[in-house]
Amino acid sequence: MTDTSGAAPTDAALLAAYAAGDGAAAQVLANRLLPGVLGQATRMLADQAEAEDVAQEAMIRLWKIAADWREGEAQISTWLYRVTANLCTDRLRKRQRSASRPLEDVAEPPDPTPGVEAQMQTTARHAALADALAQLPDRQAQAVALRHLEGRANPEIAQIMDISVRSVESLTARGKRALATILAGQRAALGYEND
Amino acid sequence: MTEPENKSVDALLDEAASQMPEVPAHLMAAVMLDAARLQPTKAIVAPRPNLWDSFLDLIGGWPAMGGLAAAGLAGVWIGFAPPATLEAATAQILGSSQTIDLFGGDALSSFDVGEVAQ
Repeated sequence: MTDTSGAAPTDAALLAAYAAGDGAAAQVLANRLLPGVLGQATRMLADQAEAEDVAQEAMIRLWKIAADWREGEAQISTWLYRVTANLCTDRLRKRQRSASRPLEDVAEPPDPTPGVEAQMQTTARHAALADALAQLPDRQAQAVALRHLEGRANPEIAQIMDISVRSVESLTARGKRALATILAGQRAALGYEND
Repeated sequence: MTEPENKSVDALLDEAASQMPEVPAHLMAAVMLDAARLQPTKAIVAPRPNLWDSFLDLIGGWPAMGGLAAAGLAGVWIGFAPPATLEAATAQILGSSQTIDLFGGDALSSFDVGEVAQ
């Protein structure tokens, strides 16, 4: 991997270098992209082990597509957002099919210390959000996650999901309303009873 | 959607959005192993030698082929126009050519087929 211009190579250039046999390019690419992929999966799934599985799978798909990647067709980061979002909604769907776990069923220690208790409640809230996302239609869940968990702008979400900006607005609005309805009965358990 | 419900969903989304997990070393290692395993390699396929290449290899390549061609041409040339010294040498070695008449010259040519039948 030689870059005499001094500017950092683009993701696409690194992927092309990897495809041409440059192993070091893969390391740079992984350092650059893996934190974002893992973060997206963690925020959406609220499960560290599952998020790591999804992140690894998303990167596997990147390595596999390296030889066929056409520079200029799409941003690799955009493509990865889409792949990760799809993998996450697949996981949420499977999770929902296998067992619905009410928030009240999350085991608590008999006498948790305040710090541990707060951490558990945070974990439980994130799990509740992931479970609520699992109950949304896939496109709504992805749009809400990209907008409100990843902080992407609507035009970028439109690119990632390959839909119009208007559709993004509609999906996020409907998705958020549905989330509120699903979570309405759990406000006390979520720790929002005093709001 | 009531105001408290909206507020709690916003708060929950904001809280979830603030999660920035560190990449564990074992995950990075697994990703790099995958990268090495799946790296496209330009397969080096040895071209299948054709019959001519096999023949060249058999006789020792192009230099041997040149020698073979020269020897062949020399043979053809000597066959058509043998030098006088070669004929002399051949006569010396093999002796001069002799004609042996086993049937007495033209005896057979005047031999009548009818006489034989009798």
